[in-house]
Amino acid sequence: MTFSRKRSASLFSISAIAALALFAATPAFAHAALRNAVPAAGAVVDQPPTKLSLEFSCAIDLTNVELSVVGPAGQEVALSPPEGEAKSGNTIERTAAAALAPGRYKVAWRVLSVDGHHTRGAYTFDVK
Amino acid sequence: MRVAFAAAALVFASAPAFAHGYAGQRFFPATILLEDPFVADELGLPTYTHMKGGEEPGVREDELEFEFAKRITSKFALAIEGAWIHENDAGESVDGFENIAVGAKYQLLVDEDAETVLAAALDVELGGTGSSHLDVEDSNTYEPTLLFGKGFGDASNATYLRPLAVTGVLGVAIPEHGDSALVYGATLQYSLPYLHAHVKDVGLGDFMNNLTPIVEMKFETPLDGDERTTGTVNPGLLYSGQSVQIGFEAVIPINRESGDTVGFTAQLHFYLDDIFPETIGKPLFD
Repeated sequence: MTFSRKRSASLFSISAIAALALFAATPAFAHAALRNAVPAAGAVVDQPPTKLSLEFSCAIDLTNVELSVVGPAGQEVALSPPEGEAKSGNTIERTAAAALAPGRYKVAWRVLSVDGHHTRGAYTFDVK
Repeated sequence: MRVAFAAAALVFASAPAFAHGYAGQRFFPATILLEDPFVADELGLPTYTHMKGGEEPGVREDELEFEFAKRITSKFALAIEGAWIHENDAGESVDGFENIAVGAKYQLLVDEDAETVLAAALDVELGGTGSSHLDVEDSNTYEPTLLFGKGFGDASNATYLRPLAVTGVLGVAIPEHGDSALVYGATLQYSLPYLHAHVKDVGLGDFMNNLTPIVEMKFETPLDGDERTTGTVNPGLLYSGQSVQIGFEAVIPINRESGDTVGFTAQLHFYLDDIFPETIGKPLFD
């Protein structure tokens, strides 16, 4: 009985130490998941947005971003990055060259996290 | 020889960058009860399960399990798993290690647009590697399995169904001595991360946006003899962090042969490809 308790405790200890070690070793990069977006997925906005912002769960390579916004008539919206954009970061920001007309817009993105994992996604929002 | 060479070439063929549980924009979390339909570098440590009457009526069981999977190529992975079990039968206790199991898995298909994955696996329980006083099998059991996953992100006319995904397994457990059994199961998962990022941000908040409510089901039907089908239905929640996943599920036996009462299981799961992307978290050959 004593032996079994010791072995049980040992296994728990090994698991706990391994877990702590891995947590401690966890760097701040991984697969980039979309955490927040403006306009958000499925949003219906009254005022045409002039800026698009996508915030990711980890740092991404901002020089290796594929991002498109396609409007209700199938036209691609012209976007421009902010001046002096850093090479990496958690957030993509783009400014629309012209006001968005009413209708549904599809945002499609593909990014590369700084450790080399690709992720992608898409969503829509509506302008009233 | 030529066939073997062709098979090896297929296994080691380069493939697009692919890692744990992604098919396009669909992320499939690692499931606790059922094997995942994708190859990955991952560590389940520990998985704790508490049940009563799982193997024998009236016996309380506590099990600590570990599983480690390593990609050899981006499409092929090897795995090893083991478990320590403690049984208590009306005050009489016994504990020890179950047989070690090893496995190989090959990613047959990843269709990013259809959010579909398909894999084939072969698991082998190595007879006689566990504690002899636990009455473990002393011969090997082979279990070839087909595994699939499908996300419903392409259900464009049903907005709130798009976060749904299913995974499933179908296999046969073939012991060297004894009767074979059909092993099958499925999971139904509703991905709140998918809802938030790809369908509609309904304002659930960061914590909820990482949760996936899930129901896992796994059954075993003997192919010979009069024994009944056994299995459990496990409803629960999976929390997917940046490099770690935590899961908690109830374990509901489908009949008396599967368990006496509702148990529970919990798992700490590490995505090694995210934690160690340049070392043990990447394929040995890419």
